[in-house]
Amino acid sequence: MGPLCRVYNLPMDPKITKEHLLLFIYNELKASEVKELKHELKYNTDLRLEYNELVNTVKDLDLLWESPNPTTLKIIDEKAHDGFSEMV
Amino acid sequence: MNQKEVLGDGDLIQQYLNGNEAAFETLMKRHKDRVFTTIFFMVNDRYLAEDIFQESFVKAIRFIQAGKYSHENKFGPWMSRIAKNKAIDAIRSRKLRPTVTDSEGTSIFDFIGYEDAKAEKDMIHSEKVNYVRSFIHQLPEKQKEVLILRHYADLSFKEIAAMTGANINTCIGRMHYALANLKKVMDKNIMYSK
Repeated sequence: MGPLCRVYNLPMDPKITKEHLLLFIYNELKASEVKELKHELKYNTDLRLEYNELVNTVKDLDLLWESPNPTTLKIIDEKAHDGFSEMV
Repeated sequence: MNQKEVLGDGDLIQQYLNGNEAAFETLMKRHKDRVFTTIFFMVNDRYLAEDIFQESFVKAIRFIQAGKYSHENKFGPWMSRIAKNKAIDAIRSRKLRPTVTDSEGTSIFDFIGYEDAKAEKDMIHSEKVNYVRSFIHQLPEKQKEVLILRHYADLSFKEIAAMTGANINTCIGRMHYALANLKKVMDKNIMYSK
């Protein structure tokens, strides 16, 4: 399996790299490849450790989610409604 | 569960065009954090990010109302492209002072130690947030671009490759290096190692 497996439908290779784990975390592996990777994660403790470390790093990125001010959303919503009124 | 919650983006747009006013609100709420965080990372200024966010969605509304929207390209990536281009325009046309502000527009550093009761916990969290944010802003531009588009804008590596003109394998590699570097930075700091 190469990093391009999702795009080029390459066969699974026993050597799973961090790039494969990355694609798995971001839900970009095909179902059959997910099944194989999960199986590998179940029995390969080194790979599982690597996976957990990667997941924890990705979780750090989740600390930085931001939301727009509700007032901004309200203004946009009003513009969407205004446009709607003009359309109908 | 609200029926609109399970409808696809294309269905919501169609419902909006058919006169369902609430459909666009649902669509906007679904994508607001992805779009806003992406913009915020690019301009690093909350007030400007709010403006760009608003301009981006208003542009999308006008486009949809004019019947020019095609769902072939998916709403999420399309919206991200609009926001990214608006943010780039803003960066080019203004002298931006890099600041890190909270929802009130005040420097978050001013609040460290503000409340004694939860000061330590808040400080650790705030500092960790600052470390990660600072790290992302210090990444090489191309790594930063892939990280923001993949994690926050929620574009696939294939979509990022198409948007940036880079090879898909290169995009995956850049993301991998960015995360590996982030891990090193976080591991170095004893406070956050536990």
